[in-house]
Amino acid sequence: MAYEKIQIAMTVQFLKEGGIKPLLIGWLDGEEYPIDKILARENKPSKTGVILVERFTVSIDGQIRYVYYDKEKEVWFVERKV
Amino acid sequence: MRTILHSDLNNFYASVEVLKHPECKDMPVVVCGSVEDRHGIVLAKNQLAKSFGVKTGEVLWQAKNKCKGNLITFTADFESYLRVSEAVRKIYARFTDHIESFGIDECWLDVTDSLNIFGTGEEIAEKIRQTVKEEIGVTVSIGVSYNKVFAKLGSDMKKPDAVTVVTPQNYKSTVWTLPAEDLLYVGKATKRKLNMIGIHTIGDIATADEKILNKLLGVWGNTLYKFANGMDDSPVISNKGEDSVKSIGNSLTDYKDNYTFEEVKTLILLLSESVASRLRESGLGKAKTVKLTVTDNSLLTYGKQTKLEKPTRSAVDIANCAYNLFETLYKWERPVRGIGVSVCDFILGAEQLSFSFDAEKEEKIDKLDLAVDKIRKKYGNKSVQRARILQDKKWSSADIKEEHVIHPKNY
Repeated sequence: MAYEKIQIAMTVQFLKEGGIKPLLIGWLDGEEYPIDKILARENKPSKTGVILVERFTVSIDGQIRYVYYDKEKEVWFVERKV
Repeated sequence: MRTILHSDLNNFYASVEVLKHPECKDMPVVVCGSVEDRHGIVLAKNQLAKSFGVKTGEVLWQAKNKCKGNLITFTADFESYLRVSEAVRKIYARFTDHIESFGIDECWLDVTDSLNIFGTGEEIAEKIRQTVKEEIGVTVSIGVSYNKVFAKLGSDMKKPDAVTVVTPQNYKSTVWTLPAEDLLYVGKATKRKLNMIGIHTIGDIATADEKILNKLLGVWGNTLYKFANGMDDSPVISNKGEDSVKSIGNSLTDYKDNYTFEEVKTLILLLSESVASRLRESGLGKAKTVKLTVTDNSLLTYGKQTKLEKPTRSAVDIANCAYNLFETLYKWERPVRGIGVSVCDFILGAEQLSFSFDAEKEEKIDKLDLAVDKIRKKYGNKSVQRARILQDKKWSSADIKEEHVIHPKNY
C-alpha cells in the first residue's frame, strides 16, 4: 500500500528542560486541532520515504493519530493512503 | 574472554534508497555513480537484484540485462548514507562506547563491559538488530564472538537481518569451513598463493604449518594463521574522535576505464585536493607518508606507500608523490578503474627549519591553499578548481570531498 506525505503546520512548545512538545495541528483547510495527549514519541521509519523521522502517537479529540517530525528539514507531516 | 560484535548494514546504499523510495520495495534496485551516465557501474544492490545475479562493480547495462529491464537505478546519495550510518551508530552507543567503524556500513563493538547491564553478547546483538530495524528501517547482520576476526566472519554467515554466534566451541564447525578468501586480508593475490599449496578453507590455514605460511606470505602468513585459529587479540579502537585518526584518505571508482597516465593524473589530483583540504581542516598538522591504491577493471587492487622528503599538507606535494608511486607501482596490464589516495604519519607543531631556498615558495603555496579553502568553504567545493580537473566535465562537477568519505581504519 502506498502512502503520501501531507505537510502540516504545528504549534510547539519549547520545554524548559529541553526538547519540544507539539500542541496544535494546523490542518490544510486552516482548521486547528489541539493535541490532547502525547502517548508515545519514538524513532520510526515513515512509509513515505522520509528517512530518520520521529513519530509522535497523539490523541486528538479522543482519536489516536500518528504525526511525524523530520528534524533535518524541520517539517511536520502525516501519512495518507494513496 | 572478550565479547565482540561486528555489525554489518545489509546492502546498505540500496537499503537506504528503498527506505527513501518505498514503492521500490519489491523491485530489484541498484545504486550507481550516476544515473544520467548510462555506463555507470553498480556500487550496491538490494537482495532482489542480487537474486538476478547482479554484481557490485559490473556496468549498468549488464545489470539491466540480467533483470530483463525491470531494474530500478538510483544515483548514490552519500549525504543520506552518512546520516543513516550516524543514526545507527547512535543506537550502538546505547550499549557500549567502544565502537570502531570499518567503512560506512560496518562497525565492531566491544560489549565486554556491558554484559552485566544488557545481557549476553547474543542478547545485545538481538536488541541491536531489532532496534535498528524498528527505528531506522534498515537491517543489520551481526556476528558475536570473542575476537574481531571471528565476529566479522560471523556477520557474513547469515544475511540479512540475523545474528550469528561464533564460540570457542563451535568455530571449527563454522568458521573453518568457509573459503580462505573470506578471512580478513585475504585478497585475490593471497588466495591464489594459498590455493597453489592446497589451502582452500580457513580451516586449512588454521591447520597448516605456520612456517610454511610465513615462507609463502611473510609476516602476513603468521597473522593469517593467528586469525584462523581465533588468536586475534587486536582491540576495538573507538575511532570517532580526532585523536584516533590514523589516516585521511579518499578514493573513487571511475565511471569508465582509464588507459593513460594523463587520465589517472587527473583522478589523483582530484583526490589529493580533497585529502589535503581535509588534512588542513583536521588540525592534525602535516603528513609524512602518502599511500596510493589502484584498482584495475577486474577490481583487483594494488597499493604502495612512501615517505615524503618533507612533511606536507599541500595537494600538489601529495599529488606529485602519488604520481611517482603510480609510475613505480602500476604495470598497465589492465586499464585503471579506481584510485585511492591517503596520507598518514601526522606531525604537529614545530617542524625542522628548512634551509632550502624554496621555503618562501612553500609558505606562499600554503597561504594560497588556505585561501582556496576559505573560498570553497564559503561558496562550495566546486567554486575554485584546477585547470586539469576542469578539462574533464564529469569530474569538474563532482564534489569528492563531500561525497566520498572514507572512514579511518584502525585495523
